[in-house]
Amino acid sequence: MRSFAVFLLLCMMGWASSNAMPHDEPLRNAVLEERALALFKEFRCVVCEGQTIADSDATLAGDMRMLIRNQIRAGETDSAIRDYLRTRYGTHIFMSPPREGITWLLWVAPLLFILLGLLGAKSLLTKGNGASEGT
Amino acid sequence: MCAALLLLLGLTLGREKRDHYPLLHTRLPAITLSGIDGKDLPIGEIRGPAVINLFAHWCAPCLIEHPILQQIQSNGFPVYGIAWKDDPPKLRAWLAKHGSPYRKIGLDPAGQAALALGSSGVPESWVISREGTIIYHYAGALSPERAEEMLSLLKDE
Repeated sequence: MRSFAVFLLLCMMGWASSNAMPHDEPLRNAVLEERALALFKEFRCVVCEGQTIADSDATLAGDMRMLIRNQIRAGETDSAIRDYLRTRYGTHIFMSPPREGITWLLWVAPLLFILLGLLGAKSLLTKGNGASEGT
Repeated sequence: MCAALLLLLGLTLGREKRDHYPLLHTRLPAITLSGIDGKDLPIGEIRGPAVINLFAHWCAPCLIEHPILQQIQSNGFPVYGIAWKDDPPKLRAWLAKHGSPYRKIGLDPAGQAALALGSSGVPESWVISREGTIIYHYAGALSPERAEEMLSLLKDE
């Protein structure tokens, strides 16, 4: 009788703790879960930097995974989920900055730097040639 | 020119990351939490001048800022608490020990209210206007200087 009471108490404690701290569990629908996993890789973990919420063990990353799964379950589109997180955390939440506004600079900057480098090299070579022809 | 471009990029991205809170001057999200007292706490219906504070009994910086919240409350401004991933019995014991500056406390066991407010963890505080918009946000333990800023905004409302 006493061991049954202890068992019952442990069951109740288990229920209480699972109620207090919900976990992010995979979606049962494989297609929806695949969508969720793809989205997880797009978002940065805001407390661990450099990691996506797919890779992070941080509590906040787990909460974001749960939020994304809940929104997918509720029928939200990927774009609506991106907007929800962008509205709250800004574009910094994205691992790859969206190609809009000032962030276009990030995408074109490498090409721009290569172009500037080539122009600089060409100008140096031309000057060098001119100087050697003059002597 | 390269240096100027790099500087511009750094400034832009740095500002985005550290200083910009996207929900500033927007309405509170329409979320309702279960209160620690058993009554619902509709966050979206809170009207200021008031403060919302995200906290947890197990969070050490939350205890550090506790006197600041009590100071705000003693100045006549309601402080609403959102208990992040907290255990109600332990939270009640903590409040009984340290005193409660909170008018109401809503429970956020899954952290979804925190995400709706764009939070990155405890403690975090918001000042709410008469219209229910966020007019101030601070992530981290409140200092006396922050309290002055918040009280000034609350008094101006």
